[in-house]
Amino acid sequence: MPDLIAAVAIIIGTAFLMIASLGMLRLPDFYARIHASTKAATLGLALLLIALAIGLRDRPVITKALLAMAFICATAPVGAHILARAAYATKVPPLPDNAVDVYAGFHPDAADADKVGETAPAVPEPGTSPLRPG
Amino acid sequence: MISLETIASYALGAVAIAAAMCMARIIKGPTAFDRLAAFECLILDLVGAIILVSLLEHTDAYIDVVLVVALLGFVGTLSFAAYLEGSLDA
Repeated sequence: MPDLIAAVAIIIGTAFLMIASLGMLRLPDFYARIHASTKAATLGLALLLIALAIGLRDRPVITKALLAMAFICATAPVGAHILARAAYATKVPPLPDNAVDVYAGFHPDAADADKVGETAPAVPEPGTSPLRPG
Repeated sequence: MISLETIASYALGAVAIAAAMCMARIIKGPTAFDRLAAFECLILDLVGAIILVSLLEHTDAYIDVVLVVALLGFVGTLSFAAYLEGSLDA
């Protein structure tokens, strides 16, 4: 019975890892590609660590597997956030070129940092959304 | 495909294919940030491969390797992103 749970966890975890790498290869934009490594690879690794903890039923292994799971779930999204922030500061373009930039002027290292408060409205008008042009 | 070892060995082949797809993005990526994100995904695939090898050999000696490789991959991504942004004194 525990081997069955470990086998199912291995299959689903490896499927998530393959979906993460497939998304990394096929998604059209940089800001879409970091979603793949953040969510799918983290979840696949968590399932693989669960499979390891159930397959080798040993107390130090369970403790270290939980520790590795907590560490990966804490650091992979933080790494993706820092990547996205650095890419936004270096003007990596998003894919639809007419996408509304709601953060224009808010980044302290951006080129248009002197326009803080000019581009983003304080209160959006009712019926409109800053994410939808026009 | 009854035992856990056969499933783990087939999963190891699948993780190798996933790592090859990340390498294709490293080769192809138009900006350096694409290569960096694919490197992060490659490190996570490598951690998955170490976990599967540890299951295949019925040993618990590689769980420390998992922790250290994940930590080093994260720190490498952070430092490279800081350098590419320009906020690292280099």
